[in-house]
Amino acid sequence: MVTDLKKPLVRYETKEFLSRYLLIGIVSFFFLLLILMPLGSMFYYSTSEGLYAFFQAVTSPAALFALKFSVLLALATTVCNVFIGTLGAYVLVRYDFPGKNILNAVVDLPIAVPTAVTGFTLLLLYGPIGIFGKYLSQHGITILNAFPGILLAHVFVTFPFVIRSVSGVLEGVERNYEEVAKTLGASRFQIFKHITLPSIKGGIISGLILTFARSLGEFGATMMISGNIALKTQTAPLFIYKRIQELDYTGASAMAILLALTSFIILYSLKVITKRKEKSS
Amino acid sequence: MTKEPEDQVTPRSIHTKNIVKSYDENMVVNDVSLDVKNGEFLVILGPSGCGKTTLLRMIAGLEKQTYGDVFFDDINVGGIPPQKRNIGFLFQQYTLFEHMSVKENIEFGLKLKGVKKAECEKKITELLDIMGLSEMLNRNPKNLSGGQKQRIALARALAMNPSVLLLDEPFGALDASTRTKMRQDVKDIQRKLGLTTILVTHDQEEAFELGDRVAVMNQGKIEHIGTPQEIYDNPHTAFVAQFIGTVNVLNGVFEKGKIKLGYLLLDTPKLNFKFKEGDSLKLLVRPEDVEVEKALAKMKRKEEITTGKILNLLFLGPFVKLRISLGRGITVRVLKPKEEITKKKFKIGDDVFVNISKFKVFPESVDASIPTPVSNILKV
Repeated sequence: MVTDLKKPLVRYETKEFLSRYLLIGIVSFFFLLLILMPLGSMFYYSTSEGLYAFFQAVTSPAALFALKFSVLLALATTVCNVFIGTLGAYVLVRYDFPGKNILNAVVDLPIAVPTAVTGFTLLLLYGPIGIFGKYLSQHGITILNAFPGILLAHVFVTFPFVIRSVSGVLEGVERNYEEVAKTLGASRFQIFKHITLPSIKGGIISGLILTFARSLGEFGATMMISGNIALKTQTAPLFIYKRIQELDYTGASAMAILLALTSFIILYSLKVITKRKEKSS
Repeated sequence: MTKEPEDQVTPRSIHTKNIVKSYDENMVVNDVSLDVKNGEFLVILGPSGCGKTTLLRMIAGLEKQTYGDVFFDDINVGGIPPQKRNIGFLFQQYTLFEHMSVKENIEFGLKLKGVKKAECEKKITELLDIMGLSEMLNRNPKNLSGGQKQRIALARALAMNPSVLLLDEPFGALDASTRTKMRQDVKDIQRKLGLTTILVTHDQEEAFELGDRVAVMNQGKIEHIGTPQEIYDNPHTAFVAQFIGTVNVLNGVFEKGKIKLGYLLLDTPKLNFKFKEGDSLKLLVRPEDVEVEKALAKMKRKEEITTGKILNLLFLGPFVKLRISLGRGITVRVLKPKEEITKKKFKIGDDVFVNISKFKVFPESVDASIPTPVSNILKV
């Protein structure tokens, strides 16, 4: 051992150095291959016919509608799931009831079920032959090929995100805090508002970000249920698909760039806002 | 419950009547009837898992009893939620709301109650003054020490002018010196306000220091309730004798109305249990109740006195701990003041006369394998 200590330590340090940079290299390579190259090619194609063509492609009424529709849809989906997901997480974590385990397993189902299947089941349920579809159409309510149907599909597909991220945080929140609030005279609602909600805020925000991003990019279920009608039910991803079908690569990649940029800006600003709030509190 | 005038503490007595809590087959609290007088400080002492916290939580209304009733004065609080029982509750883990400042924590309940801002401010200043934490007003609880956190939690509970104060191992997470200081402060505040208080702990020193009376709990039942001295000197059960302080558990036999222990024949004290000739029994002897003298030839040997040999001698500051062999495989632990040992010049290996002056007798069947509680000066 004594002789070992006398040896110069260069070899060991070199090894450490090499392995570190090897790992960084591998990660960078995959990052480049999987994310940067596709994004780069998208950018290349979108501007290959000049910036004017790019600008025209993204300002066409159909493109603007698709983008607006997608953002609106993602916002509505997020609002629905923040509400249902937080409530669901609270019930699943805080209460014991028969069938809780089954319900817990069902929550994750939307992740495993192909989105096309989701769209198809909604089609069956709310379509002209479906139980709900028949009843609702009698009362003049259309779900299929309309905003409510697409919203339903998006809420279903993104359902696990808020509920799972909130459950994770809520499980770590000791019940003592809620109990002490009880002894201080707080009602159930006051406890939720003043004690529970601030403690699970982080979980809600991360669930919300995932939901929004996933909804903005949703394709399969939307394709099945929306009818892909331009200026009526066409979301941004469906717009891209349509442009590709019509071999308009510039239009497709221009919208793709815009979609990527929009989601990046929204997600980034959300992160900045939450960080600022955390710091100030 | 009747409405209390603001800013005035009206302590209430607490009674539990045949209270039971069971989960499936498991009886956690088993038929406990307890009377805590108005303004009294009662400590419920017991090992972990004995049901003491569950009992406290049932009194607070945080847990519903399976059977039995809880009364504050003569009001059955069974249907009253914890929000309306007018209690102050302290948990071991401080439970300060970390997204609120110290001030916001204390005014939390007051605000919900609709107390006016000026009155809130006055109350907060007053309480922080009592706690000696006035400069912490706008701090975040995250930046406070354990002791400071628990003081704020206490201030928050007291802000509501509770009729009863319920403390669930409130000093358990504090370091030794803070704990001692905090205990004294809690006792002072309790006395000053005359609050009916129940504290739950597994620490005997804490129980004796704080409790006007102490209730020793084991396996869901209260085995003995009384003043610290009553419990120490006259334990009702073998468990209580062993849980409080240190005790020698020796095996004896009932013979001709006396107790035979090795070579010793002891006169029976007033027995709580009936024994037949030849019955095995357990003798519980406090280390300080063993008299030790140097074995001198001139001393007359009596039946109550036996010879022994000092196996070990350990200085513990004001006290000295001795381990003495009485032969036949019996050893006793003895605790004597330092002066006595110095005067009598005891050394390891010395032959001594031993007399057991005070002891308690319990039937053999009583389980002696009880976990020893945390160490303190009484333990050797």
